[in-house]
Amino acid sequence: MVKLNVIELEKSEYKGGKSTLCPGCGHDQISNVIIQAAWENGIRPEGIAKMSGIGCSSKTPAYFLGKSHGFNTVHGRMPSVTTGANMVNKDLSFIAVSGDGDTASIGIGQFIHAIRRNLDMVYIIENNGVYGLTKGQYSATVEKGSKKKKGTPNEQAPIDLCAMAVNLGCTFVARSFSGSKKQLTALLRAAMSHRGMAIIDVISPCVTFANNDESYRSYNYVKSNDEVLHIVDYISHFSPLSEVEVPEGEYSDIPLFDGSTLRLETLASDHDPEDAVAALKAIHDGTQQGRHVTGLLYYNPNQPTATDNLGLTETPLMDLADSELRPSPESLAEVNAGFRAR
Amino acid sequence: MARGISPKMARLMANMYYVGGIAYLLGIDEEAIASAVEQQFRGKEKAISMNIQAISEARAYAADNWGDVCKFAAVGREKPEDTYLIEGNEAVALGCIYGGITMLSWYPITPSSSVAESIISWIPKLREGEDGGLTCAVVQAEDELAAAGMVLGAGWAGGRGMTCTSGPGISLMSEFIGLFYFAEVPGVIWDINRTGPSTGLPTRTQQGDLSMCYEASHGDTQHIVLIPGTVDECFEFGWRAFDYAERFQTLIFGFGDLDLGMNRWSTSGFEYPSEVMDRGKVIRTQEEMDAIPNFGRYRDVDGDGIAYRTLPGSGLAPMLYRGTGHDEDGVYSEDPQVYYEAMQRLRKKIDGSRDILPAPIIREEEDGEIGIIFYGSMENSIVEIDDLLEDRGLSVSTCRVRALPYHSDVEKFIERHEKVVVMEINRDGQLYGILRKELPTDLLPKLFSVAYSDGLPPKAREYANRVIEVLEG
Ligand SMILES: Cc1ncc(C[n+]2csc(CCOP(=O)(O)OP(=O)(O)O)c2C)c(N)n1
Ligand code: SF4
Ligand SMILES: [Mg+2]
Repeated sequence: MVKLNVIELEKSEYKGGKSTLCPGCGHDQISNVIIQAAWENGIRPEGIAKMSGIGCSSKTPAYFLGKSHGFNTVHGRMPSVTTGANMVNKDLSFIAVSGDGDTASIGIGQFIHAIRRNLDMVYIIENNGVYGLTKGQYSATVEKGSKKKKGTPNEQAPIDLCAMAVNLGCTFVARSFSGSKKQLTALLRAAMSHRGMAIIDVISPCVTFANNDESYRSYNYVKSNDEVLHIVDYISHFSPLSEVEVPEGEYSDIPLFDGSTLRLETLASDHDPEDAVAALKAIHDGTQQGRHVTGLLYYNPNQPTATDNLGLTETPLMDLADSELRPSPESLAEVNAGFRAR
Repeated sequence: MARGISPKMARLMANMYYVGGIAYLLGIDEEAIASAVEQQFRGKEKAISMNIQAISEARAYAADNWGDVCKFAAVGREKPEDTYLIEGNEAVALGCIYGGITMLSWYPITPSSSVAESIISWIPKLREGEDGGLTCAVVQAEDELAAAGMVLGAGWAGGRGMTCTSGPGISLMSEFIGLFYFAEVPGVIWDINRTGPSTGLPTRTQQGDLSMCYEASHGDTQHIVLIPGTVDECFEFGWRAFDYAERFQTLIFGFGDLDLGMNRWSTSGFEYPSEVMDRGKVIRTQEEMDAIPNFGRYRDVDGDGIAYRTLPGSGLAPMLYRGTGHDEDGVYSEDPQVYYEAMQRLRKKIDGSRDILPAPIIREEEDGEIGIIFYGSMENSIVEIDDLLEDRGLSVSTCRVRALPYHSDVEKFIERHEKVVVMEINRDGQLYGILRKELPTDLLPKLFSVAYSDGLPPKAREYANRVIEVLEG
C-alpha cells in the first residue's frame, strides 16, 4: 500500500522533473529533502510558490514540487520578486532556493533587505563555496585557506551568511549539510512551520569543482568537521506529543508558529537558540577551528512579517473583486473638487 | 529699512522689499499679497505681520520715488467654475488609485517621488476594502532594481504592481525589464524623465528616455509606452496602464517628465474610467481551463499572440516561470525553431497593440502641406509654436503621438503631408529614430527632425526657428 500524508497525498505528488545536475551534486540531495519535508508536513502543493535566482542551485525548483507554481528569476534578485508576490498574496507558502553566489555576492543587498522586512518565506542557500554554473570560481562564502580542485587557495575572509542573518535579527537561522538528511529534514520542516523569514544555510558540495579534500566544503571535509549543536527532532502539530519517544538526556522544546515543535536534544553543551550572542559565538568558535556549526542557530519568533504592518485586507489583494479596487464615481467628484483653482 | 522692523530678522526679510517693489510696479492688490503671505507663514502671526509691514514700506517707498514707470499690470481673474489645477504626478497617482493598483514599490528619485508620495497619501482615503483593511500595499524598496522585481512578483501573482522612477532608475531596472517581456508578466513603470545622461541635471526636464523605454534590456525587446500630454491623460493613462499590462501580459511604461509632472496644469476635472477593468486572459477555474483546447502557457490559441495564464496558488497548470528559453508549455528549451517562433510571437503580440493603444491627437489644416509630429509635455507649447509658424506664413497640421508602438494613424498622417517634422525635447531625435526604423522606406525622405534640449521646458521660438531652418534646409 502507498503511504499517504495528512492531506492524503502520495509523496509522488511532491516530486518534480528529472535533475540535470552533475551526479552526486549536493543540491540534488537538498531537492529530495524539500520533497520529503513538504510531503511530511502535508502542505498543499498548489499553495506553495517555489522561488529561485540563477545558478546550478537555482535550477533545482524544476526538480521538486512539480504541482507548485514557481519562478526561476534573475541572478541575485529572487527576494524582490518574492516580496512583490507576497504583498499581493500573503497566503502563498514561499520556498526559495539560492546559491552562495546568488545570495552572498550579486544578491546580498536584496537578501539583507528581505531579512530586514521579515519576509514570510523559507530561504535555502545551497552553499558550495563556488559558482558551480559558471565553472567553479570562488564565491564570497568560501573559507580562508580552503582550496578548490583547480587553482590556488582562497585568501579572502568569508562572509558568514548565518552570522550576518543573526546580526540582522532574522527570525529563524539554521545551518545544515546536504549529507545530513535527518537533521536537514527536521530543520526544513521547522522552517516551513515558521512564520517570517527562515534561513537555512546548507553546505552542499560541488562534486565537479570543489570536492577535493582541501576544500572545506567537500563531502569528506564536512563529514569530519561537522560541529553538531544539538540533535533536532520535528514533532508535527497533527501527531500528538505522547506518541513521540522522549529522549533520555536533556532536551528543550521550541514551539513553532503552526503548533508544531522542534525538539533540541542537548549534546556536549547547551545552546539557547534565542540568544543571539551565543549563536554568534558558536559560529565564530567553529570558524576559528575550521569547523561547520550545524543546527538551529537562532530563533526569534513572533516578529511582525513584511505584510503585517501595512493594514491590508484579510483577503489577499489578488483575490479582491475589481469593484473593491476601484473607488466610486462619487469619490472622484470629491477628489476633483479638492483641486478647484483658487 | 528692514533693520527698523527687526535688526535680527532683517536679512530674512530683505526679499519682501522686492515683493513690495514689484507689487507697486505691477499694481498687485494689497489684499492678494497679504493673503499669500498669510498662507506662506500659516500660524506664525509675528512673521506675518513683520513681512507685511516690510512689503508696505517698500510699496510706499516705490510710490514716492519711482513714479509711473511700468507698462505692465497684473490683474486678478474671475474664478472659473470648472477649472482645476493639478500636477501631472498627482494625476498619475490618482489614475493608479482608480486603476486598482494593489502594490506600489518605489525608491525615491526626483522628479518621480511625488507620484509615490501622492499614492501613499490617497490610499487611506480612497482604497479601504470592505473589511476596513487597505487594498494596496506599499514597499519602499532598497533600490530601483528591487522595486522592479517587486512589480514583477506582484504581476506574476495576480496583482496590479507599479513603480515610478526617473531615467537612472530605468537603467538599473533593465535586467528585470527583459524578464517581464520574455516571461510575459504584467507590470507598470512610470518614468518621469529628467535631464540625462547619467545623473545629468536632476531638477531639469527632458524627453530623453524614449528610446530606452521602448527597447530597454538586452536581446530583442519592445515595450509599450504610454505618453500623456496633459494632466487629464496622466490620470487616464494611469488607470489604463494596468489594463494594457494585463491584456498584453507585459510591462507598460508611463512616460512623463519633470515639466508635466511637477508643475500645476489646468483641467476641467478627471473623467471616471469609461471601461471596466481588463484583467486579461487569466484562467481562474477548471471549467475555464477545460474550455481551452490544447492549453500551454505560451501557446497562441487565439491567434493574437497572447496566450492564457494561470496564477500561483490556483493549482491550475502549475509552471516554473523562467527567463531562459522555453517552449509553448513553458518548459526549458534551446531548440532553434522553438526560440525563433517564440520571438516571432512576442513581436506579433506587441505589434498587435498599436491600434488598441491611445490614438494620436491630430489637428489637421485643410491644405496643410507641412505636418508636425510631437509628443508628451510639448503639448503645452504647441499652440504657441503653431502661431509663430503661422506668422511666418506656414500653416501646419499637428499629430501628437500618445503611445508606442505608434498607431497606424501616425503613418497615414505622414502619408498625407509633403514634409513632416518630428519635434522633441532631446538631442538625438529619439522618436524620429524610431519612426525611421519602422516606417516604410518610401516615407523616409519626408521626415525631418527638430530635436533640442537644454534642460528647460520648450521655448516656442527656439523650436519654431528650427522648424523653419530644417524646412528651408
Ligand atoms: C547578471 C548576471 N551576471 C552573471 C551571471 C552568470 N552567473 C550565472 S550563475 C552564477 C553564479 C552562481 O553561483 P551560485 O549562486 O553559488 O550557484 P551554484 O551554481 O554554485 O549553485 C553566475 C556568475 C548571470 N546569470 N547574470
Ligand atoms: S557544477 Fe557543481 S554545483 Fe553545478 S551541478 Fe555540478 S556539482 Fe552541482
Ligand atoms: Mg555556489
